[in-house]
Amino acid sequence: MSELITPGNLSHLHLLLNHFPTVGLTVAFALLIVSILSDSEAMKHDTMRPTALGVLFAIAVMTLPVFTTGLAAEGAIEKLPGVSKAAMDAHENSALLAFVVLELAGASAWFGLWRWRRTRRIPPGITILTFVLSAVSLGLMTIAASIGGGIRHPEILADPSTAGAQSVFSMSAAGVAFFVNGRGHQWVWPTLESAHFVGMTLWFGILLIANLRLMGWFTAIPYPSLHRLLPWALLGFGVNEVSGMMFYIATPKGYTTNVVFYWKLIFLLIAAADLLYLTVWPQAWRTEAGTPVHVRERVIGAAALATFVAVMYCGRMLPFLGNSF
Amino acid sequence: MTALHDSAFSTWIREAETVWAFPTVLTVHTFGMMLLVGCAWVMDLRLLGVGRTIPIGPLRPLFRIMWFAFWINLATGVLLFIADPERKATSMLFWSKMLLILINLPLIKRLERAVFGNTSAPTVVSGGARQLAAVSAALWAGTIFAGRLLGYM
Repeated sequence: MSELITPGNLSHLHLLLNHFPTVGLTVAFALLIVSILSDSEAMKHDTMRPTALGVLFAIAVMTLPVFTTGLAAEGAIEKLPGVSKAAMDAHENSALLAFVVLELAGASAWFGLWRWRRTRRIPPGITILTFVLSAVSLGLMTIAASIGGGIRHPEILADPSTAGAQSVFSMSAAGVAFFVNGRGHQWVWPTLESAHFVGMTLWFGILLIANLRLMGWFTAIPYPSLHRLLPWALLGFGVNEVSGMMFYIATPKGYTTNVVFYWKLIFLLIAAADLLYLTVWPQAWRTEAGTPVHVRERVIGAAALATFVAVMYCGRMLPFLGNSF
Repeated sequence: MTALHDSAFSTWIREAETVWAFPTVLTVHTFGMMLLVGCAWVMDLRLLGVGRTIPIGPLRPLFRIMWFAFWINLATGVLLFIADPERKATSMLFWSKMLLILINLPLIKRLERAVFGNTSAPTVVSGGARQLAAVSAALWAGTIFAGRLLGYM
């Protein structure tokens, strides 16, 4: 697959995937608004609102490769005539803030789904929080997308002289990079690595026992009791996403041209899908102590465990396989 | 230590131009850590009161998985030490990591006895078992930090 990792392909991938946080987020937000305005109890509690939260969680996950391919696209076009480095930096910084808020919206949506699975109700507080966070991230995403479009299409700018102007709604990627590996910050990278490993063992341990239960081991444990541990797995994912993104932003060139990193991203998306499955899947929720296990759950569980091992293998082997560091 | 460092085996693990030497040993060590500490977190979280509806009795095999993973990591850990003995033997971080593990191993034995000593289906967790679980979890976090920092210092 390494011959596919060309600057042109990564640019193209960024242009394809960036529809998730723009068009996709708009759709998820619209579903959420309709479910809030609707008088129907079924729409609120059974159909549309859980769907809106699920789509929002999926969009938040899919935005991870959007952000990472963005830095790869920058490497592809930075030397082309007429491309402004300042415009790309402005796009990256506004996209970073939009990304952070969208991830918070995704976490909030996940928590709503988790509560919904347990009580058949999504608490109003979580609905409001998810609504506010997704509205803010949609606004920020629009700004980021607009600045991004201007990089190669100056004709869409009302005033071309504004190309490269930083939006006030941004988070400095250069600031993050300086915090991670700037002068005098030698302790930050190793500390983040340690946190990355603690987070990894946390989500792995919990998702391991939950999947094993659905595959037919630990049959004396009712699955709904293990479901109670899932927020701790999300916490582990969160620690790893924050620390992982800090590594990436600090040293993008170690990753953008490394095929192993893209494999890790693909496996990570599948692992996130497994978390969603463990959170809402009705057959999983109905697995009481001693319930016989369906072959479908065994296959899904085995695939999920193989995926976790693959995520870890790709992460650990990043410096050795491929060409980074 | 210098003789060990210069031995053919040490040199092979450290310098062989193949992913089957140092990278694979390190990766298996990381797999073992995931399994050992991952299962420890699940056990400790339950004993500390997260997911009180999870029956404790059926969780007991987690201890067997933890010991299985421990032996894998002892073996791969020895190989990693052989690959780089001089730096590790003189590193405070390395000896701190060893100390944390040496304190934790008997704690885990005591924890299993405290929870499953009298019954195979415990329903309440004693205050003593909770304290052991909290200390053991903190020691695992410390072990991961010491091990990870060792790669950079």
